[in-house]
Amino acid sequence: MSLLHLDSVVHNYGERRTLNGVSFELQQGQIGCLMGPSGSGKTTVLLCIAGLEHIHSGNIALKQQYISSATQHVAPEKRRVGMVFQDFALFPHLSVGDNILFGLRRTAHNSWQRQLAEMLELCGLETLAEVFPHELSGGEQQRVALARALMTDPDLLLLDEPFSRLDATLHEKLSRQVRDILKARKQTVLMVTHNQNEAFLIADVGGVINEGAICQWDDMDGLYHRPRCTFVAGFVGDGALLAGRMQADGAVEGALGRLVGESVASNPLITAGDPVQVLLRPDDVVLSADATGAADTPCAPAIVEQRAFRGATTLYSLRLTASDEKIISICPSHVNYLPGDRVDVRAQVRHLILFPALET
Amino acid sequence: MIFPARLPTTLFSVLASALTLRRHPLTVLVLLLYLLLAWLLYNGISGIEYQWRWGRIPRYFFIQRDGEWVSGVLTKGLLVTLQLSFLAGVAALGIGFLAASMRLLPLTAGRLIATGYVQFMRCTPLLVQLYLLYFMFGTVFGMPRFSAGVLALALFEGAFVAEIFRAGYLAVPQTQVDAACALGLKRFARWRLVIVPQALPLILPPLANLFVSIIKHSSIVTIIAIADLTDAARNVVAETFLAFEIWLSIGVVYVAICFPLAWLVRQWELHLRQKR
Repeated sequence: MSLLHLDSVVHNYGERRTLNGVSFELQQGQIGCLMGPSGSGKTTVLLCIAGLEHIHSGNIALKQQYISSATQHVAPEKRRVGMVFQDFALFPHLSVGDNILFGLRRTAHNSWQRQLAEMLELCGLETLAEVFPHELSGGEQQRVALARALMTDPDLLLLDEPFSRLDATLHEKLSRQVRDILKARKQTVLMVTHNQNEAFLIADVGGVINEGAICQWDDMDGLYHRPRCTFVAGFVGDGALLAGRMQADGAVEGALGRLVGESVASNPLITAGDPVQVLLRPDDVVLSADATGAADTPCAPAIVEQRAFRGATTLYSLRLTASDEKIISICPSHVNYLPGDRVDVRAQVRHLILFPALET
Repeated sequence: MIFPARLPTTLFSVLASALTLRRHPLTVLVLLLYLLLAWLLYNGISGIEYQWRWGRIPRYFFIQRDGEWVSGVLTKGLLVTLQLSFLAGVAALGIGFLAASMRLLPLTAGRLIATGYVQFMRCTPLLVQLYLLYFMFGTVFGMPRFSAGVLALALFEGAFVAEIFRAGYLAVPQTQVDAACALGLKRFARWRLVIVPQALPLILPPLANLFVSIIKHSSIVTIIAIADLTDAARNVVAETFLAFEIWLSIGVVYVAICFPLAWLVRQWELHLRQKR
């Protein structure tokens, strides 16, 4: 039984259609993540679930109860849906403790002191109960916002770009902290982000949204290794698409020679002889100074166009000399080439991710 | 040689630090400006060879009649000014709140009416409004002049109050309201606990300015012959030709009312700021 269920949700913002039939579901205790570029409608999905926006058709169900449809709209304050906003939206005129207890206003505060202490401890804010929001660091503000939303014990927690306001170097540490807090409470969560690394670190399942529609809803592994369309392939993880032609035995013939692998994104429309696109992740492409290394796998000459040093690894952008196609390769950083160098490129693919070639 | 050259600067720094304004480098300039103004005033007054008769002023404030102290015409005028300003101020708050709400609510008719009202009041002179109200509506509906004066002032200042309220409301970010919503607060609780506490410190200073200006603007009701402080002063000047003494005294009275008012609101504002 799914906790949250969206069915063909359509939302318009004035004349503009922002959501065009969004459907997915989330199970109790799962952390889901919507990824998508700016303006793809991912925050609108959250606002619709929270009840801060009305939907125009389709429906949203929480715990098997319809909360939004074209004719029905449960008020946001009655939904038991918590939300952490992108700017955290802490109340500047209240202390951390009062912020966290804000949602429990209706009952006397002192009866909640024990729960408050537990929540402060869970979120690592023990010493900060009396402090005001402007005195906190970004990471602390975020945890206060999280604690405030968790305190009302919502059925579903929504996180809107929870880490976008924070230092990039803190992302990984904080994401793990947040995941631990959420998992400790078995909280069902839906978050949105434009940053795939955040999604990988926190989420169990996720979806990629583009132009108001979900391209694919899957687990994280599936989104990366079995993308169903070129948009998902390009958005989740790095990669380049290489043109090729499908062979009768399942291999693909292209600029890097004959690529053999287990075909995962097997599109029934692709038959032998069809033009296809093959997704090459940067770790699928190996560079060598000369072609003599491995005679059994075909290789092709290429020119290094750009290099991005990343410490332990270096990311190379390459142009194949024969076909002018661009590919990328990630290598240990002791493998050192400079822009303009000629190298030989070999593909080491374990499985082939294929898409039908675009009509030209 | 060194001593006389340093004397003025030493004097200034002593004076400046006595006023605890030392950290502002512009203080010296401001003090110079004040000195210049005082010199101009002194020269202006001594130039016209005016015969000061300050002794004749107090009787217009308080007068002893039959062994009892009773209010003079100016004191009576002052009471009218205060009464008029207070009533107009309270009414302006109500009108302003109503107009601001109408401009913010998603009701097109209400928004058009309120916007039209605010724009008309802001773009026409108070004098014209007063004449229109008193001579047109006042005669038609038989409105007493004091009520017409209060109403004109209230309608005029109400437009500015509306803009202050609206700006204060809009200054509270939408996510604050959304967050309160998501935490399960109903509409009234959202207003009471989230919007008002954040908007109040923002709207207080401009509101205080507005009240001070209501007191000063109230002097314009003289033109429809309401016996306020300015009207009383005009009458006394016409009788006695004590123009300088009377107008200087009246100026001091207005300062004596407006300055403490502004100071009080400032203290309240500081108190609210401290709480956050």
